[in-house]
Amino acid sequence: MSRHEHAQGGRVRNTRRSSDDRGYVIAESAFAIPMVALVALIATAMVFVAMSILGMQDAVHTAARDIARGVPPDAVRSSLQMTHPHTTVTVAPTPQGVTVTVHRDIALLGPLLSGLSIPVERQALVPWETGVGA
Amino acid sequence: MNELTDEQGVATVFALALLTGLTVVIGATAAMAQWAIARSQVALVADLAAVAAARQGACTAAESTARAHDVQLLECSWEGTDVTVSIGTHTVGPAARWLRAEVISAQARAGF
Repeated sequence: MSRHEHAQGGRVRNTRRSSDDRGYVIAESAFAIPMVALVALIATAMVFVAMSILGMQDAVHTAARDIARGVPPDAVRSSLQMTHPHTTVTVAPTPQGVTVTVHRDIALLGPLLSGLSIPVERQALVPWETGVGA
Repeated sequence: MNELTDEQGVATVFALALLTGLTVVIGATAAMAQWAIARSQVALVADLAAVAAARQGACTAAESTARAHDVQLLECSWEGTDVTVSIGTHTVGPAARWLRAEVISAQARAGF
């Protein structure tokens, strides 16, 4: 049983918590804490996905640039898959340039919840450099 | 009046306030992430467009690279053998409105 001290009108008096109040904070916290944890989890997942997309975006542009410069597509593909595992890399050469597409199912919470994922695809098209072409 | 029963619901009010705050944080995080991804994409395409223009010696290469990535070539200027390319795209979303950055643009320079 807790005891509170209230300052009212310049005097201090003691009050006693009624037995009706017992357990309210615990019951409400039991609802509140999981909700807050859920929201925090969603925010973390969003940041994780955004960072993964940024990394994929960077990688696909670098890969397309390398292939356009004449680096063999297989070497670029294996290098990209080494730095970004679980990605599907598609290289589509055209007379104008090379299109590289990277596809990956990003797990929302990394290894924690690998079953919960969203598909992300990034693409880059780079014109061939002089002397290199399809 | 039973002043002690006034304490009932304090945790709920606190939780609601906290949830509202966290929901706003989630919304802001999502909007900023969307904007950051778009900004990064435009910067990367600007790099590719500048390199393409420099290698081929023509702004048409920058224009076709920009068009292939659904962005617009805003400017392409030569200074000797160096080319400066500016590209831009319209973006949507609350973050763009907050930042007053409905048009995301990026500049890149390349030469050989």
